[in-house]
Amino acid sequence: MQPVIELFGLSKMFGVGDATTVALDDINLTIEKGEFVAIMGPSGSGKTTLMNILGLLDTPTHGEYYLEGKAVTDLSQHKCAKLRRDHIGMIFQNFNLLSRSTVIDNVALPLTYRGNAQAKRLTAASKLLRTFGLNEREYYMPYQLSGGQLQRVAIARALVTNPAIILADEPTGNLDTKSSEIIMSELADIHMQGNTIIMVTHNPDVAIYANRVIQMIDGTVASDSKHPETLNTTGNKRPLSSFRKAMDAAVNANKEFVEATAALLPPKTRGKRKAAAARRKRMAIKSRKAKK
Amino acid sequence: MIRFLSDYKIAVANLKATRVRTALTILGIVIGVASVTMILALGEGDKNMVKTQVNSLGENVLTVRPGKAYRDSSGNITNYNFLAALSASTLTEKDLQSISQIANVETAAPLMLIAGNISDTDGQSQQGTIVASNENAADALGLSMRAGEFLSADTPSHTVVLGDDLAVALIGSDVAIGQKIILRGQSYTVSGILNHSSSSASVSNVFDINQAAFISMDDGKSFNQGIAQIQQINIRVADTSQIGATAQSVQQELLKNHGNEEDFSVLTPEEIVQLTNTVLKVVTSFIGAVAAISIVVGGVGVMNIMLVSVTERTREIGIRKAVGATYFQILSQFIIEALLMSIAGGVIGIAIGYALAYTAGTLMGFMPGVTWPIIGIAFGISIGVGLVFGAWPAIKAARKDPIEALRYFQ
Repeated sequence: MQPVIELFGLSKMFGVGDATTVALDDINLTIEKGEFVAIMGPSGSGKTTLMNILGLLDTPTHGEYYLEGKAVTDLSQHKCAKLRRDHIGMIFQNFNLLSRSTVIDNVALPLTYRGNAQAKRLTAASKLLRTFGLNEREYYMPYQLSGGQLQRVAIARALVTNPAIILADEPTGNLDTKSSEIIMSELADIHMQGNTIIMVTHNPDVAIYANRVIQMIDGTVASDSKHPETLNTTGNKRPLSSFRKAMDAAVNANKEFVEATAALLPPKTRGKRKAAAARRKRMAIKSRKAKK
Repeated sequence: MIRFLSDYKIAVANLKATRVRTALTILGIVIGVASVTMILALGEGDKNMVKTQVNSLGENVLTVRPGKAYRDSSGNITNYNFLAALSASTLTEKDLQSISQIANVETAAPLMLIAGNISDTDGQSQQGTIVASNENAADALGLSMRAGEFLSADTPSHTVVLGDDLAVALIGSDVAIGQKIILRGQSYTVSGILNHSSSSASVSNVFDINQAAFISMDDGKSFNQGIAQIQQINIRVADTSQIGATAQSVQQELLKNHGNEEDFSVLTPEEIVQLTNTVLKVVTSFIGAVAAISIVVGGVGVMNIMLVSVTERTREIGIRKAVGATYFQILSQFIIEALLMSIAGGVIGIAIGYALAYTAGTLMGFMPGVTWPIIGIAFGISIGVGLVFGAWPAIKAARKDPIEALRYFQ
């Protein structure tokens, strides 16, 4: 089967000269259709940059990105926008709904840019909202909804074009525990229906819903652990305990790393000019660790 | 098409959300478009007035006056000081004769204005002008008789034809003929009284026909030591389509008489009317400049507000781009918003412009012209302003980096 996403030697750098920051460093990654991937890592590890590139909002400095077998690295902005519209659904930490549009108009927004007629747009949006239990809130304004409801509206918007991949950047970052659970079980449901989801998160409790966890450190993939069994065979929304253990190990490793680097890097040294030097230091620690 | 409809709805919603701001921006356009509409309507009214005057004068009348008319390369008169020229007329009876012999000249009537007292037999003076002319004057000036008959070749001397206002003032009637009046101390018999004339432009700025006393050239010369002092020659041509060629023949003939010195001018009906409307032209070109400036100011207002709107809605633009809006879709959304404001301003402006034009027209004594081209031009200008001044903010919006835009703090 054709993988949905293939990345070969993907790098992203910001700035020029001494101030160059390497956000992504030679990433090679393949994501198959139907996977639910959680990308974890400390702040500044390149998770969001990777998401932006996957979502065609940003372009890599080097490397190749194939979306559904098609090279998309050198596409024009116009074509990128169309691919975003038809193949990618995005969910954000702060929901990013249009504050002056109704719930149903927000959900139907991607279809508007596809050029669908209003009746068709609203029918599709209404159908989706019903599956999220929001059919009575269709003509509410975003400020009239709770955080959990807003995120469900955002998920409905991401799904309305039936995209190949769904990108979620900290989907539960702004939600309380209970709402987070609801949102994650919604995403797990969507995943079980065969959708591919790539999610960035800090929270291990959220990451356990995924069947593959990618740990990112300093712009590279530090670990990539797959769930031994796929969720949809058992119908169990919760992952198995063995997977949980593997994940906890990854999370702990991450924590240790963060603590170690934090000790070495006092906050004051984190100026833009010294970013490169700091990065070199961190790389040195990393290689020492690897030798051990 | 569907997208434009939804762009329209988005634009209306956004404009409604910032009512006061939108209204003030529209006001700027309203002022600009209103002044453009007013100036165009007044210009059209002026043109109509010229046409009416040319018609009343007759399209087939050439006027010869002393003094040179200065023309630009396209033949329009740029400067003509006929009042100064009146003091020492260069036109002679010989000129009149030369003109009469030119082909296509049907009749030629001299006008010799004579200063002098007009009074009734009791010595009561009245305001008026003594005009010496020949039998062709009635035809060349388009005069008609209320009573009696006009001067002819065999009219006895000391006979006068009065304008109706002067007749009423002198003899208390506009139909009684055979009465005596006194011109420069000499007794004249009234042989005819003219119908009231809506004074035509070729003579209205020289004298008022309704206040005129027409006498024969010989009588006129007798008041001027036997010398003809012709201030104007009116020529009626037989074939109106050849009026331009005839004007040139007249010009050439007179140049011969005047030793190649161009101390006279041959004026077509349009040129005569033009001369009377120079003041209006100055006024209209002044308002025109004001209108152009206010259109630009209105446009800058639209641009300003659109730039504010784009900055305020940075995050919205980021969201729209993230869900797949293309460059042109964002561009058209903002262009449509600017267009809506400028079109609304245009429609209101056209209405107000016409209202102002009617007010101004009433004060100036003529009606502004209401034509589709004027409405079209004013509407076109308002659309143009929206496009031109909405373009940059829209491009700025469409070029926004979606990542930066999504990060924008509202």
